[in-house]
Amino acid sequence: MQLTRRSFLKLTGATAAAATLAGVGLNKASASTIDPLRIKYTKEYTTICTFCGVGCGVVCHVRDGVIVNAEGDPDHPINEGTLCSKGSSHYNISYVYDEKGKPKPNPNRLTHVLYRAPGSSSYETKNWDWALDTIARRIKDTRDQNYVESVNVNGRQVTVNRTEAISWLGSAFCTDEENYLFHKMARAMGVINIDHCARL
Amino acid sequence: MIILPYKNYREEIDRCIRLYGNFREAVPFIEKVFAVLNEYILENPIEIAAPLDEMKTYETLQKGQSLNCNPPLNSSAVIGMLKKVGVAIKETNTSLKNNMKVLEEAGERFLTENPDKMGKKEFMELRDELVKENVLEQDMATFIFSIVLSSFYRQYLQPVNEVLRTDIWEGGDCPLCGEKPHFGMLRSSDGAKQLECWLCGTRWVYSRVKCPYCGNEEREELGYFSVEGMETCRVYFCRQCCQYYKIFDGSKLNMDGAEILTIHNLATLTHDLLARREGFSPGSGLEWINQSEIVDRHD
Repeated sequence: MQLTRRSFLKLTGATAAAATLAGVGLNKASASTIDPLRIKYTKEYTTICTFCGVGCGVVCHVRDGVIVNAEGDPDHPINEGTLCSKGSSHYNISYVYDEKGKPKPNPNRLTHVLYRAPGSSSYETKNWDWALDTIARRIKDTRDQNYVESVNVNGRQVTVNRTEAISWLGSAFCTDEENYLFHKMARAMGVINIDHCARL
Repeated sequence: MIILPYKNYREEIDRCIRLYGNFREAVPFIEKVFAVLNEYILENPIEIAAPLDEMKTYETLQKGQSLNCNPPLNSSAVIGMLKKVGVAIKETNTSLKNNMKVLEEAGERFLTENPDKMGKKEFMELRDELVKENVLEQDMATFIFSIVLSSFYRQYLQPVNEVLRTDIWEGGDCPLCGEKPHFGMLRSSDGAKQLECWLCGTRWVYSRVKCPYCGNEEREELGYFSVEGMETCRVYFCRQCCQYYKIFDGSKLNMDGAEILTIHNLATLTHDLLARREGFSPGSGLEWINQSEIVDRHD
């Protein structure tokens, strides 16, 4: 049955003021006493755990650009919300606790490039541009100096287009997608010694 | 078979008192209302829903369509319960006597004009009329009508709800009745976000980082806020559609699956007010805050 917009009420001024929940004790006014600073805005980001090759999903809680908590991603098909003891401690990559149990920035966390020159006993700080240029230069030089186009197999020249002077070690700290790209890149350069650290 | 949707309300109220300090003041009223609801249900049992065709249900949900079960409700039963709640309100605060009298009269008039079964929409229209005519403020109207209608829906649909395959449902609205949720919880066992339909009580797991109202998955536009000292309740929001819903942290409730989130919602109306003041509106369409209470805190 379709009702029209008719008034059910024929009020005769019986109600001076409308009934509110405050009248029965459900007073929201206490909100006005809450200092705006006590409201904490947080964002949730999903990511992949960097500790091993399982690739568990993690939800990181970030407040003002700083990670405040990490928990297993319940929507992730691999771990379904769980995390191992290492994964659960993601927060401690960024923060450790002082003597009083208060979090402080982890002093062992690398936040810039450290370089130890051949023969040197100490590290020096470098920037990322220098680091990437140097790595690229050395890979290219090593590859070019040791590139083999063909080898003799039973008296027959066989094209191989490879270098045996470089080996590539993948990382469980990288995502599947990153490792896929690294693998492609290594193959494109002619690297044939490719391995991965994960053993599960 | 009689189904009491809010059977263990006393335990839940105790839990809410422990979790939310400012709820204590409302306890006598809340206890009275839930006692009245249970009493009414026991005295006036209703016919419960027949089982749904399992295959058809499965196919509908898999297509991403809600079952949209919106049973017509017996007008006299709903108005009867409405009156009972009105009496509880009147007994809590005698100054609301006149308002409750008008509510009762409006109910009688509604019953005279609609003696048979009516849908949810018609009762919601009655609610809007009462607000328009200044008998009830928006918050009180939302409270009375949501608690009464949900009592009937939860009784009627519980047998269906229990066998519903919510695991295949990925939508943001209720798979059973199609309503939009206002609250939910993080399941303590795995942290999954379970939304709960405020109307029929169906719970379903929804993606942790996704807006149930507009489907937005952009992390930068999604988030939640909590209030220091009251971290059990989080207000999740979406900056694309500017809507919010409340999520209760199940790990702090220690009662997976048996919580009465309706009571937790009532105990945290402060969060609704804060959300409104922060510029978000309820995605459920349930307005728990009166216009006069929304003051921009930045002013």
